[in-house]
Amino acid sequence: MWIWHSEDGSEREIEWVLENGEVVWRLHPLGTADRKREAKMSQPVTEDKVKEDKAVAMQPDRQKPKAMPTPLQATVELVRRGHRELLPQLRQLLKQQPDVFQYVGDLGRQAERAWVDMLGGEDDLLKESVILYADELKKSLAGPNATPLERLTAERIAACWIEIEYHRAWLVQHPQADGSKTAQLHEKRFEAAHRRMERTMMTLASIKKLLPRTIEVQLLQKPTVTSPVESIIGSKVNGEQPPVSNGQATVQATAAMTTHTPINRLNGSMNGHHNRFAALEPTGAK
Amino acid sequence: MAWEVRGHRQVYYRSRRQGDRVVKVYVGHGPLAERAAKLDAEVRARREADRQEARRMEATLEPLDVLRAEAEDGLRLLTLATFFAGGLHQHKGQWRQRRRRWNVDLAQ
Repeated sequence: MWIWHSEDGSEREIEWVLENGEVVWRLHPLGTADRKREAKMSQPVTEDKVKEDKAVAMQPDRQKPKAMPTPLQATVELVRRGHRELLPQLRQLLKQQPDVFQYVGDLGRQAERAWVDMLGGEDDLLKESVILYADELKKSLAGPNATPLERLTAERIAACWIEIEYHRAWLVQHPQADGSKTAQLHEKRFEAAHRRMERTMMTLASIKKLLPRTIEVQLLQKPTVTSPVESIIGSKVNGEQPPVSNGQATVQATAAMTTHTPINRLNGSMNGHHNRFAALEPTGAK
Repeated sequence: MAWEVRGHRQVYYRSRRQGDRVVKVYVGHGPLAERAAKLDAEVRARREADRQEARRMEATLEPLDVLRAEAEDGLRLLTLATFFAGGLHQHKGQWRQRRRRWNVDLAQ
């Protein structure tokens, strides 16, 4: 059972409590700073105190409080710390939140588009060419039957590539600026983007190497489905070769998966499998 | 860089750092010193323009950095979650498949 403590918005604790009330673990145990804050909160509130707090809160350089961790973030952090008992919950969270992939993908695409605009400037042809090349790069990196995570990682690599190209183009176009602050800035960002791209490529390689992959195969079958008896009768009447029956249907495997309609080899129906083993079982047995 | 009065005339000095100290280097006086002062002013203006250009570039790239950082954070979280959910663990920075205990892991 999850318990979130966020009474005043500043407290961030996550606990895992059993049914009998026993606390199994706590993500952010109360430390000295928390105790000080609690003591401060328990003091009587005066007008001067309110003014002082407002003045502190209105300071421009004051850091914003960190956002509450989402359940996915909290679970990942706890699993990272060794709580393997939360793995089923993590899998469940990943299944329940496919929109997270969508959100991250949208962010990545926005960033990529902004970099393309920076790189291309007013040249629409160049911008479209870069977009097309980046799309090709993504496809080739992700490979066929890519999972959403592989696609996202490939998109990140492509975005890093665009950023690298932007800085490289600036440095090539401004040779006279060698040694200037602006050139140093571009060199620094070029190297950072390069490191990021290498890191992301290593992540993609790890994903491809380590994560289990589900390869889906499409079975294409001819729509002309006739029962073996009908086909024999038809051939006798017309004197032609019988059409290919379901038993010998040509099977073609392709990468794209749509649906696979199971065909019963016994009666030729496409409505689903007939469970022969279930038919053998006694009626009442379960 | 400064003009200083020495006796009855103005002389031009350049400041230069030598290790921990800043020392003044005598350039001269009269037309030669004026030309040197003009050159120094041009160099200073170029440096200031360069600094401003770098600041402007930083300000232009900052929103892109924010977008990129958010996308990377999200991707990092998803990668970690997928790796952990796939039964991997991190050993000294390297992702490894946990040795499978068939009677325990398959039951989960």
